[in-house]
Amino acid sequence: MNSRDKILQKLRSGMPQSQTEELPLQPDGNYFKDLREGAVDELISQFAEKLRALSGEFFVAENEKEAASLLLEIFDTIDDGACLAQPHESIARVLALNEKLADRFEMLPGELDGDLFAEYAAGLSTVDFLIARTGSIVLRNIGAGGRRLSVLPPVHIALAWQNQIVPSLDAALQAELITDSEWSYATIISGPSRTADIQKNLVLGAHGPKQLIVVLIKKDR
Amino acid sequence: MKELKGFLQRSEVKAKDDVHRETIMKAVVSLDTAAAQTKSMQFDDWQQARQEAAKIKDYALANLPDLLEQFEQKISARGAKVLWAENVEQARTYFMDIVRERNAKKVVKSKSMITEEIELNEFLEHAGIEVLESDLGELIVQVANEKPYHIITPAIHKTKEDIAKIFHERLGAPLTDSPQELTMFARAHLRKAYLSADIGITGANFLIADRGAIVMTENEGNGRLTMACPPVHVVFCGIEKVLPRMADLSLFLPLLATSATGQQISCYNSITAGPRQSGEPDGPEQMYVILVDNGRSDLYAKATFRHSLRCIRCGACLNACPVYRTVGGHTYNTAYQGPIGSVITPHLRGLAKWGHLSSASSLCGSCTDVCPVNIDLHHLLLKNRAEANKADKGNKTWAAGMKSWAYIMSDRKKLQRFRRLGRLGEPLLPILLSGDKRQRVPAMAKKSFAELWEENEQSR
Repeated sequence: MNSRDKILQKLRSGMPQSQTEELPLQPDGNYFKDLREGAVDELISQFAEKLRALSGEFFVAENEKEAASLLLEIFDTIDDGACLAQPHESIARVLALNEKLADRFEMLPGELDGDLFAEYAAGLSTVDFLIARTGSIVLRNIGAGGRRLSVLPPVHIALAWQNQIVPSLDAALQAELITDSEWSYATIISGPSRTADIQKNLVLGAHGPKQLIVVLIKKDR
Repeated sequence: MKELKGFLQRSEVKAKDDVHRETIMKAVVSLDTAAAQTKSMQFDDWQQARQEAAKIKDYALANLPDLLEQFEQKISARGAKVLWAENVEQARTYFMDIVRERNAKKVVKSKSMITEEIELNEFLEHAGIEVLESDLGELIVQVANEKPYHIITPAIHKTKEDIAKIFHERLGAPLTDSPQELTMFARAHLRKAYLSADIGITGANFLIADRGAIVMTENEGNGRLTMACPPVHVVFCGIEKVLPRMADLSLFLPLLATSATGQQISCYNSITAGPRQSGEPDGPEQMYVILVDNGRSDLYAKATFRHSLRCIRCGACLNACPVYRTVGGHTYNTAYQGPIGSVITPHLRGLAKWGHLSSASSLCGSCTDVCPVNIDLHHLLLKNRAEANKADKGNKTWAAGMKSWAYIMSDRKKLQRFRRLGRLGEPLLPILLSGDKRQRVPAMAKKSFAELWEENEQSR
């Protein structure tokens, strides 16, 4: 018998005799005090408050053209190095709306060596969901330009549309986009990278991005 | 006996070390306070939430073999390879096979308690493989050549001055005790490691059966980089870490973050369901999940103790424990310190050698109060003591003492007779009771409560 079967057999022989345990219903966020169900504006204001409390930056644009000007302002605040953008049609569309943006970013090529990747100052990606209750963004590697774009560069800029906002994590985890698609990696991001490993002193930018900037466009994607 | 003696010697030293006590107290009180605040800020009803979490975990344990098979089948379908390790040697051997196949020289690693349990770093260093810890706390203890002091904050016992000295002497960092600058030094120090490592190792906080995925919680981003950059991703995980459904995370992630660090949710929660798939932009070519038993199936078979496998390793019971706060993490000499370590270690590694840990508790119950999955920790410690005593039949003095105690306590008259006898032998009491010169036994009252009661009744 191989070790897999040995372990499983041992567990089966040690299992509780009466299997009366029932699985509680799908968690639905009812445990939480700060859950808001409401108009999209209310969710946006909760998201903004929570993200800012986590030292994330948050900007609202009324439309895609305004988002393009906002991105230009944001790129201006980032020191040296270019921004690497996710090759996604919606990102390409927004970036094309302001001609001054053209020389500020490069589209992420199909393959990029790690050392070259690490030279970029910022990564621009889309998201799959914004979670109002915790100020988090949810992204899958297939929807956000892979695993590295949102973690390797020192600044992560996320572009979102208002119909991507949901009240809580369970709504995102049970959405078809997550459950019915094939992806190998998804992550729930809540603020820029942080550590408190030295005598509980909070320091931002431990290994991941030092800055997380979310730009929300008040239109549906 | 060697472990017991070591425990006593180390606690003696730590209990008298004022700097140690202050450093630990500051940190655990700050963790405790943050957790309490977040509980009331975030949860409508914390008690209900932890009961639900316990129920989900109990369901997962009741169906453990089936859920593990479901996990294996789903994640294998995406090309990950699941390996089952019965013990420490097998877990290490699996890893060495991967090292050989990839001709690997350099490994970057994110925080994982189970790799502490199987002492992977020591083993790999002997084998000439370079391992770099990437979590800041883990890096600090690795560079200091020590073991982690705490499940969540491995370098909880180090002051910023200690860390400044270690980084300066061993890594050539500029001398500074600013946490900001020390962190930025560690960031720069590790950047290249992610890009040049042949293998990235992570642990897993949860295994998700219905998706076939591992979930990893962190704040620094070192885990994400470890899973994104090297060509091979190896996960070490205990077999008890299963959750039935991905949606269960909407409760477990806030629960874990609240209890561990007092955050609403940790900065990064990554759900990894396989290596790079065709059409995906990046990610490792290969992914292995090494499922480790190492005594868990024995613990699982013990009905009384099974529910200790609910543990999500948040560290809250360490913070709350007056013993941990006094003797510190290294005194235990185990991978898992504090109350949960004292509950499970005797079952995972043998009662004869580790049974004494169950007595390293005041049975105050603070651990049980703070546990986010309702493990009845202090009662399990008491049950461990009973088991340890049963196993320790050779100790005749203990057995004789306990028999006399049972005889005396069986009848009130016997107790009174013993009391009178006791008063005659009062000078001997300190020696009899403790044999420890530092303990002062209070003087016996002239009259017992029963005697006073009788007098009072008569004089009425």
